[in-house]
Amino acid sequence: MKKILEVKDLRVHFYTYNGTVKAVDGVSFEVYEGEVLCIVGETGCGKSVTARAITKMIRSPGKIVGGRVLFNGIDILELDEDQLSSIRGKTITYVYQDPSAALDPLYTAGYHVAETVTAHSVGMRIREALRRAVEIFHEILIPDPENRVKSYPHELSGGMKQRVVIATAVANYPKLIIADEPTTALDVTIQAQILDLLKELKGRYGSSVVMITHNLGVVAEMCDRVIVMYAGKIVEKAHTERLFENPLHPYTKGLLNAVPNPYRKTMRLESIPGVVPDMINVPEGCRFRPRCPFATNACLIEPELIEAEKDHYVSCWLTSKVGQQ
Amino acid sequence: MRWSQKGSTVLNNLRMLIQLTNEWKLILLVIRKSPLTTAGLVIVSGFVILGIVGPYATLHDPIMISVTGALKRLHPPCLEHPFGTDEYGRDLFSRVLYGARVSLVAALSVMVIAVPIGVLLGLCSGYYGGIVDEVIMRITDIFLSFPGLVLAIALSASLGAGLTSAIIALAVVWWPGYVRVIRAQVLVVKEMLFVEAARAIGVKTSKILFRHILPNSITPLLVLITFDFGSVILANSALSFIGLGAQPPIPEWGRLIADGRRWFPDKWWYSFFPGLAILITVLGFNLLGDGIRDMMDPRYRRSIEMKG
Repeated sequence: MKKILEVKDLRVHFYTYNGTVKAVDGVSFEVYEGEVLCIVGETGCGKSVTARAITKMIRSPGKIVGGRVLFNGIDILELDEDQLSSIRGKTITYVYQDPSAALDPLYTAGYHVAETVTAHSVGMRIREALRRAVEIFHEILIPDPENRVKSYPHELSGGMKQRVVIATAVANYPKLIIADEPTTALDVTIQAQILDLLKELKGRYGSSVVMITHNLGVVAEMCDRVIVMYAGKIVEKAHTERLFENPLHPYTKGLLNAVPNPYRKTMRLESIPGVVPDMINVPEGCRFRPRCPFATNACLIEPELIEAEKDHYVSCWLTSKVGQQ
Repeated sequence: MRWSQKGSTVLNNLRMLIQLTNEWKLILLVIRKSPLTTAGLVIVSGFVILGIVGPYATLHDPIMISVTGALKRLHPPCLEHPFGTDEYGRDLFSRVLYGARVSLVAALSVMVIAVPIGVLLGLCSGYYGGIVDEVIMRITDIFLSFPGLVLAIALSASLGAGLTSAIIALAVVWWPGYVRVIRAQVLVVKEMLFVEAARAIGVKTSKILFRHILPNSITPLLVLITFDFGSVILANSALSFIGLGAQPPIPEWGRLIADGRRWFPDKWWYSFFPGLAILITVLGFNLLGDGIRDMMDPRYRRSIEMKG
């Protein structure tokens, strides 16, 4: 399979009054054509920042301090603002978490789609673009598209708004859709519909999807490969089935145990003890050490991300010892 | 019993109808429910209409001194001269009407100059932040550190007395206020997700500023402009009161008050009516400004709807 996106050693720091927050600290991964890659992790582990950094959407006080983002061989981080805006919305697009906030309340649903279309086709009028918006609404199964393009965001339901946001994302047949928790703000029945829609669109337009989520159900449903992030670093990277069958990192195990299992009778749901570390004073060595039930002295040295089995990477001393034996 | 039930459903339907109505109907509702806003609106529209057609509607020439007029120097208010006459026998009613136009022109010109400058600088300052923000805001602070009217007097005097120099002076004093208001709004709006979403679909920065950020920041600007209309009229009158601004024989309200001082309180009407005109006009703009704020701000609007 062809790599379309390659992120190498990405580092994003936020310069706050209390000190430097290393929100993303040396993250590397790749996205293949037509696949769905999930990034999972707790709140504040750097998932969204990674996603935004892919098209250099980090704003002050954040700064991309290192790394490369190769998209079809071009380093996006070296492009200027003009070149970036010709990529954003055209080849790489975003679907946001909160559809009510992602739509400008002063413009109609159709205008949002039309704006994307006109931004990337020279000389196209808003009126022509609105016709295109109707087509897209039709394609993504928004009922009564002729009238819905004229609706304002406050006149639409949450699920419908998310469909409009998805419509703006797919309007230019993007190569890569970055979906930042696209279903978090929606109720469960709508979540399933939106996931189905994304899956279908991905197939129809041949796009790849980077899906950011903290919902392991979404991961199991949608993803080909999974990246588990913890405190700004990748702790485990594997194919979805492998990760669920054989989680290697204690953090991943903890996450999976924290999901209620209907086939097993348990009185209490397990949780991972402790809280996400303070990102200004990150723990020395392995960042999961203070919360890890298996921590040893070896964990004071930071483990590398190594290939424990084929296409299954993990950064934990436990696994590498297992590997040595 | 039955009838009263029917009555209450009708009432409920009415209430629902009111809730379902669009912005225009809300404005109509405010007009009905808030007599002060309506009064402000009436005064302001009256002022604007008089400013446009007033000089053509007067019976007497507001500027030329007629031969017969000389016989009626400082005549008290009567049927022919409702506001009396001045020391040259000119009809004060006509002069006050003409003054409305001078004030309207002055206030409009000041806004046309000051608002775009303020909006542009405020947008850049708020959106780009950093060094751009620092430079623009410190320059703005320099202008704000002088008392407005004193700076206007100094500028107007150094440019030479006249309506144009008064307008320029007032515009120079007024733009910093708009920079601040717009900047504060932009700081809030630019953090909203739809701005990032617009950036993420490749919309150019200038379009983001003018299509997304400005329209979403416009409410306090509209309110401020309405209030400032009154303040500019007042400041312009103050300038002409001390001899700057519009020069005779053009009648300006502040100037008329100043001219009438010589005869006050004996010939009270000379200063009284121009003063009344200023009072009513400025009051009208303030009442309207209050009303607009109530309509635009959902927190206040709620109170209106509750009342309604």
